[in-house]
Amino acid sequence: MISFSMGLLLDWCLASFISSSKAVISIIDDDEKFRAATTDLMRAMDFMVEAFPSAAECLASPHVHRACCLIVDVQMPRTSGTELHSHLVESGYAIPTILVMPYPENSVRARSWHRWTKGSSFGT
Amino acid sequence: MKTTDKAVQSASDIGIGKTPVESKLVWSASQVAPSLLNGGHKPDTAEASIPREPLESILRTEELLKRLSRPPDHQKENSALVALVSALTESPETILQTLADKILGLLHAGSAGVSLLTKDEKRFYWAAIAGAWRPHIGGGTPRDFGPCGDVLDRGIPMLFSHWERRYPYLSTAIPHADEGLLIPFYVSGKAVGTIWAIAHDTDRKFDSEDLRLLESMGRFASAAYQAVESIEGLKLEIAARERAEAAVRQRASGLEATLRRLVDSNIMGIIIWRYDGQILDANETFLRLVGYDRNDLESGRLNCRDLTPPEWHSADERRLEEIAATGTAQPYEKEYLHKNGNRVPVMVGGAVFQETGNEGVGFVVDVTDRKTAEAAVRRSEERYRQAQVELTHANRVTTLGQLSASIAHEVNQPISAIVNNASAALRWLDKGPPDLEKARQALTRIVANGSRAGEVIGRMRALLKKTPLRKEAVEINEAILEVVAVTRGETANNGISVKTQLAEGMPLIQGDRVQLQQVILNLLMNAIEAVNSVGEGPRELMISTAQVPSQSVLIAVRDSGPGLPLVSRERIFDAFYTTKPGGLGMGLSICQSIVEAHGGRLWATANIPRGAIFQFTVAAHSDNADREL
Repeated sequence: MISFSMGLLLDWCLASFISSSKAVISIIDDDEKFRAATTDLMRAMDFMVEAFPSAAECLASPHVHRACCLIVDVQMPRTSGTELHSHLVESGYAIPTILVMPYPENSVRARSWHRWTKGSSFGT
Repeated sequence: MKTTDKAVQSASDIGIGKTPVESKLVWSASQVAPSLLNGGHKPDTAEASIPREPLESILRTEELLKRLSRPPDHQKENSALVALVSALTESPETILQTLADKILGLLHAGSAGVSLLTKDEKRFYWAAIAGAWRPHIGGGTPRDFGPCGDVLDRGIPMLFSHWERRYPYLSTAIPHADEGLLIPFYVSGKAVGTIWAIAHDTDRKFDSEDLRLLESMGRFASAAYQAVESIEGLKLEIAARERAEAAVRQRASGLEATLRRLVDSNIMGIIIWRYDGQILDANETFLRLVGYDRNDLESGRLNCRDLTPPEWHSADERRLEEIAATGTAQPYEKEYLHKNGNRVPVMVGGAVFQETGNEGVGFVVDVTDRKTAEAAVRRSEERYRQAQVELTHANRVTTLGQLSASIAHEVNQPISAIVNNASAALRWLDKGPPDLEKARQALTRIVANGSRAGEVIGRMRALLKKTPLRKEAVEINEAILEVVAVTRGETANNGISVKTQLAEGMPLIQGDRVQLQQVILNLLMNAIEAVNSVGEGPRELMISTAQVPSQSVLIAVRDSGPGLPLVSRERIFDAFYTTKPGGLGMGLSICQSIVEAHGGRLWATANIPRGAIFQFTVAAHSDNADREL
C-alpha cells in the first residue's frame, strides 16, 4: 500500500530545504502515536525536533521562529495543516512544509502547490 | 300438595302426546327444526291413529262403593262451601279455580281441576287446575280424545285406573296419575264439562265419600256458575284464548318460514347435532363445505368428531362443556376436514335444545377468504420486514462509503506510524554503536500500532457483517467510544470536536452491539452534517450516557447545528422522509426500528442554545443484579 517510505521521502525533502543538520523540525499532529513515531524517526536522523498536538500549541511556542521545516497533518480539529501553513506564510514565516494526508486530494494539493510545499502522499 | 315441587321441577317435560300445539307449552325447536331441514313438512297430529283400549278395562267406578269409606267431614265441607260463596261474591271470575283448590283439599287429591267444552264443543279447555298438574292450566284436548269426553258421553261419574292405556297422551304427564275421578259438570241442565280429582300416590284410593264430596262441590259449582251473569262471558274468554293460541300457531309458522329461508340461504352452514357428535341434519351449505352429500348425511355417516382434525378435539370438548353449562357456545374458530382431505377454516357456534338436552343446533361459517387475506397481510409484513433488513444492510454499506475517507485515515495512521517507527529502529541500529534502547522503544511502539490497526479492521468487519439481531450483554460506553474512534477522522476533517460525557457504573444493556453502534454512528454522522450546514459558531458534538429509571440507559447525541423545524421533528423518523438533498430518508427510520427491537425509544428535541438532541433508550440486561453484587 505504501509506495515509498517516509524516511526516504524526508531524506529527499529535507536535503532540498535544510542546510544545517542542527535545524529544528516542528511536527504537528493530533494523533499521539503517529507523532511519537515521526518524532523518533527525525531524532534517529539527528534532527532536533519539537512536536505539537495542535496548530494552536505550535503557534504559541516561543521557538516557532526557530523552525526551519514543518511536518503537518492535514486532518486536524480546529486549525488544519493547510490553515496553519497559510497563517505562518501570511505572518512572514515562509517555512517549507510537508503536509501529511491519507490520500492525495487535489484541492488540498492545489492550495498548497504555490507555498513551497510538497504533498506527502500515503495510502495510494 | 306434597308433589307440587316435583311437578314444577319437571314442568319442561310436560309434552302431552305428539301434538305440541295442543299443549299450552309452546312447540319446541327439536320438534320443528328437523322438519325444517327436510322440506318444511309439519308432523301430523297423532290423534286419529291411536289404537283405543276399551273403556271398561280401565273403569273402576264400581269399586268406589266396595271400598272402606271414611266418615264424612261435614265441617270441612261446610267451610269449603262458605269459601266458595265468598269467592262468588268477591271474585266470580276465579270461582272455578277456587273450586279446584277446595276439591284438592277436601279429597286429599294430588291434582284437581275443571275442564270445560269450548263454544264449538269440539275441544276441552282446562279452565282451572290445582295441585301437581297446575302447570297444564290453559291447555286442552280435542273433545273425543280423553277421559272427559267419555264421562260426558255417558253422563255419569267415573273412576279410572291406568287410563294411559286408553289415552296414551296421559302417559307422558308427570307426575303419573294412579287414579282419576271425574264427574260431569252441568249448567242449566246441559253438560258443559267435567270436574276431576287425581291421585298420584298409589296409596291414595278414592272412595264413595270422595265421590259424594265431588258431587256436592259440582252441584254448588253449577249453581254458582249460573249466578255468574252468563256462561257466554266465559265462552267469550275461551274464544279469546283460542284466538291467542291460533296467533301463536301462526307466529310459529311465520317463524318457521323465516327459519326455512335462513336455512336455505347460503349464508352459513346449519347442522342439527347430537351430544355424541352425530350430525342428524344439515343444510346444503354445510354439506358443500365439507364435501359430502345428503346420502352420507341420511346414512348417519357424518359425525362432528370425524370431520374435525384431532388437534381441535379438545377445543370442541371445551365448547360442549360450555354448552352443557350455559346452553350456548360462544362462536369460535376451528377447522373441518373436507372429504378431499383439505382443511376448511370455519367459525362455529351452537346452542342446545332446552327440551332434550342432548341435541342442538350449530352454525358454521366458512372463513377461508378471511384466513387467506390474513395470510396475505402476514406475508406482506414479512416482505416489508425483509426489505427493511436489506435496507439496514444497504444503509450500513452506504454509511461506510461516506466514511471511507475517515476509515482510510484510521487505518493509515497506525500503518504510517509503524513505517516511521521501523525506519527509526533501523537508524538506531545503524548507529555506531547501535542505540539498542531506542531501537527497542521503536519496536515496542510498532507492536502497539500493529494491534491498533488490527482493532480498526476488526471494527470495520463487524460493521459490515450482516447478522441477525443478537442479544448479548453490551457495555454501552465502550461501544460508544469505539464509534467515536471510527468517526474521529470524519470529525477532525470537518473541524468538529466531539466531547463525551459517559456516566460511570452504567448497567450492561442487552442487545446487538453492532446494530446499536450503527444507531450511534448514524446519529453522529447526521450531527456532523448538521454542524457542517452552519457556517459560524461552535462546532461541537456531545455524546452522553445516563442511567434512567425502569432499568434503561439513555444515550444522547447533541449537536450545535441549525436544529430541527417543529414540522420535520414529527416526520424525521418516517421512512423516505429526508431533509437532505440526495438523502434516502432511511437512516433514522432504520435507527428507530433497531432501537425499538431493543425495547427502547428514539426521539429528537431541541438543544439549548442551538442545535438538536437525538436520544434513545435501551433496556438494561437482566443479569445486572448479579453484576452489582
